[in-house]
Amino acid sequence: MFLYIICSMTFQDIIFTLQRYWGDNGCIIVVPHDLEVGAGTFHPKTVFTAIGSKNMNFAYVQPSRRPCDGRYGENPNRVYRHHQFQVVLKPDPKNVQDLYLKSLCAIGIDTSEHDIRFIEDDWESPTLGAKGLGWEVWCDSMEISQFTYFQKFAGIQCSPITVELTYGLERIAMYIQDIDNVYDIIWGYSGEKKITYGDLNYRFEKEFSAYNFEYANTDDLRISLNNLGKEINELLSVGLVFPAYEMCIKSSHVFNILDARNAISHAERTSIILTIRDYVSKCCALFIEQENK
Amino acid sequence: MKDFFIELYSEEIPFGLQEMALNQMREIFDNFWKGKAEYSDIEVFVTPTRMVLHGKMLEITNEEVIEKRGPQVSVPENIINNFLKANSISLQDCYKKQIGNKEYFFFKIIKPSENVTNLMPVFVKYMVENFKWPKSMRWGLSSAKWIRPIRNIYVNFGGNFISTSCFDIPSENIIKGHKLIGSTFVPTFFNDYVKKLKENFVILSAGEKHKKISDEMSLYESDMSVKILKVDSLIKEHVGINDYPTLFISEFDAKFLSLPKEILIQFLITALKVFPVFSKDGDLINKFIGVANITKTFYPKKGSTKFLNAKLSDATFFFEKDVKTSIEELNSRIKDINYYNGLGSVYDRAHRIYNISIVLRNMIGDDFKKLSDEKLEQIVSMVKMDLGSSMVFEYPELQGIVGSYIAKNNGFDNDVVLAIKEQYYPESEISDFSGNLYSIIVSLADKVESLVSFFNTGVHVSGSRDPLGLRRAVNSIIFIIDKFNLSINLDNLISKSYEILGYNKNIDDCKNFVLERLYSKLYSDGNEKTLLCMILDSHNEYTIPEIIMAFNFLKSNFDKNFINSILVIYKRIYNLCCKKYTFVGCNFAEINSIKSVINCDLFKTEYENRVFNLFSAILFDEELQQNNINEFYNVLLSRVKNLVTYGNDFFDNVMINANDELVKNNRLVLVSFMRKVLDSFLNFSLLF
Repeated sequence: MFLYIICSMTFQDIIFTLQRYWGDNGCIIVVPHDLEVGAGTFHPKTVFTAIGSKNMNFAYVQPSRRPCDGRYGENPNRVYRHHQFQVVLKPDPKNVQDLYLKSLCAIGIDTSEHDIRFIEDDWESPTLGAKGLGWEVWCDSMEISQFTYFQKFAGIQCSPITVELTYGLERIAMYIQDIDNVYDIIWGYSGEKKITYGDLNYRFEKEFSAYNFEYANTDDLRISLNNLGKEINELLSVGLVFPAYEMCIKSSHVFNILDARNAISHAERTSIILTIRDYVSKCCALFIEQENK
Repeated sequence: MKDFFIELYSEEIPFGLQEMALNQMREIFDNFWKGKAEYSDIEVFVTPTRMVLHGKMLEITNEEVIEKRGPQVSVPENIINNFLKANSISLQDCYKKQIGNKEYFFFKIIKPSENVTNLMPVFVKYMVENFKWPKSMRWGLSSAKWIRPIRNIYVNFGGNFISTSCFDIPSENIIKGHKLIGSTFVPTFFNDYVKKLKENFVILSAGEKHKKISDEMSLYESDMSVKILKVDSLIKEHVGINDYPTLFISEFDAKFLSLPKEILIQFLITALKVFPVFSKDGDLINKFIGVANITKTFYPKKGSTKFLNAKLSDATFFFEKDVKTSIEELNSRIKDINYYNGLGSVYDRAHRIYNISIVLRNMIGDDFKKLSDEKLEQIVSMVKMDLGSSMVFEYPELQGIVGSYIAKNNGFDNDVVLAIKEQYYPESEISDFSGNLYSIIVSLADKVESLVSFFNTGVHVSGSRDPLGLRRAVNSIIFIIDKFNLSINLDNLISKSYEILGYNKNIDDCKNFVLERLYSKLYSDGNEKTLLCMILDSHNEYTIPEIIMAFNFLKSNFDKNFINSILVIYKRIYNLCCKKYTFVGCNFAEINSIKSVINCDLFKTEYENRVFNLFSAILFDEELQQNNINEFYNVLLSRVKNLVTYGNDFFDNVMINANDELVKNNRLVLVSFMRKVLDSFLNFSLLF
């Protein structure tokens, strides 16, 4: 059993600890999905485990990009690309809340000394057509995790139920390290040298904020959205679920950039979301069909 | 009687559903146990993770005796033997009984009743199966559906644990205390359960939690010489989401006091769920009262400050961006926001609100007629613009307030600013309503538009489902009309609103829905509903405030004895005249017209004369022509007392069915006239 060493944890220590904790509790530690996603829930492992017939437990870090949240590196609390630690358990264990609370202890948040709350927050993803019931988890009035029991995914009833725990790593790190600015988070040490979040990500944040809000070529992005739609249909027609689903993820990200550029009217937004959801539903339906064969 | 209690221990139950859960638990309990067992002193509790039923119940000792019929006595022996064998009885167990002209064999089966111990698990399963949550979920491999996963079911009857078997949900003889700082324990009786829960940092009673919060607030106020804004709805929410609510005081960065005060206060309460603090002089200061679910010994305060400052930083960012955005830009955004299928955009909705505000202005009293079209148009052209703002997108609870600041920033006058700010009154309880006439009109028009538009699209509100908040909207309509004594007649309000919006559906569904809300507001039992129906039936022309006034007056003055005396005479009238005489062509405003249908020359007794004179006099009674509702009903009730007295005298002393056909018919018409007169003031027949 790994001994959880609790000093002032660096960002990478938090990741290692959570990986080890959940690894010790039956999870396979998988790799992040290597495409731009808005949330860990988009990871193909999460989606297809939730609707599929196989029970599985796994965990992973997922960098998540939300163009509208970019602040050019100037806001101490909001970033374009944040990091989630995702835990997906199917079926949901009876003691899932206890497991979660113990994971907080593992990363240095003593639950007997903090005000930990489960506040109602039913989650929905319009593009994934996913619905779940659950909570935001607050630690001393600050949201640090999302806790969701998926009921439906792409319109498909989940059975057995999958539970997803999402840790907001930046929030947690700022809290543990008692830091007021995300860029001051200590990511780790290279020998004696302290490496901060800002050292690794500040320029990335600044340049991508400029790209998302000012420079992204909206004409090219619209063409790209159309082309992705065509490709999804072609891939589905030849039964290639995972490539088709990845095109859906790319479509979602393109949509998010167009939104950040204010290049989409509200009416169009609804239409695009419904289109992407429709594609995701087809991918999921095909996946089920192939599983049943 | 034995003490019993049941605990359903689950993951956190949303606060918004806890009150519904309390009511439903009680209802389901009664539905199951009535007729099965005797019980008393039932209490129900809901905490973040527990639903608890407690009471006293008598153990069931009754036996059920079932009589079964066999063959006729006269049938061949082999048939009788087959009957005995099939029921595993002997001839000695049987007896004979005559049914009609035949004699049959009978025997009795004595069935011992289920006892409470055996029925408790059946009840628990019944409750889980029949509970209706607006949203429910499944978990793990269980087939149960509940608001959140149930993790243990505990049943105790007479100090003994009873295990249940219900959808694979665990049922262990153990109670968990506070999730973070409590321990588990095994209770004996309910009092022990409550005591040990508290020792493990769970307060079961909502009242006790409420008092704890109030007492701690008072302590902070006196210790620190401050004033805390005690928002009742927020206190209730904290009672619902905390097992052991403990107050703490902390502060946010003083630079955020530069945010407009109302936005900051609203933000602290609705987005951050903390209580704003004021100095003794009434100035908002950079402190707040938070509520933690943990005891003072454990709670450190650093987290709240960090979190609050981060959120306030966001709020400031959004607000500064929004006040720089033009009104035209905001309105163009709301043109793209779909309001509801078939009802266009939010911008379209604002236009409908304007039309209804014109209807209302022309309908209400003189003060409102002075309101200018131009200003109303100005207000409504901006009333929903903040739905296109970043601040409201992030924090929807700030709608109205953000719009009012944008209007103020753009130089619009106080009427306009207030009307935009107060459009959600009375749902937003934070600020004092100004009573500005434009605010009243716009707030009312907003809710009337929701009501008529949704009904016109065919929306139905049923049971506990009201996803569009129509019940709340109508409650607010009634509240505003009553509070400001607006002379609005319900029929007129709905029909004119339909007309101006070009709606063509029948208004009855909409009208009945509003009446149902009015019933719910005014009465608490069936008798009172009858009073309301009596008023509405006779006075469809009444405005809503007049209906409420009439109801309140009658409720206080229409005592049981009086009602009984009216019932007596009404019954006498009804027995004779269950088919109403129609009085075709009779003008009740003219005594000669009345005399043309009731022939006074055919009266044979002084009782007929007296009744005719009294009942017709009341039609011309000047004191009953007045507009003052209280005075009207005061006079009416005293007149009716007289009518009842002399009416009974008439029935006691006059033979209605006289031998003379003309006299008899005349008397029947006179009795119908008595009913007609009574009904014209109040439909007393509904008491019947």
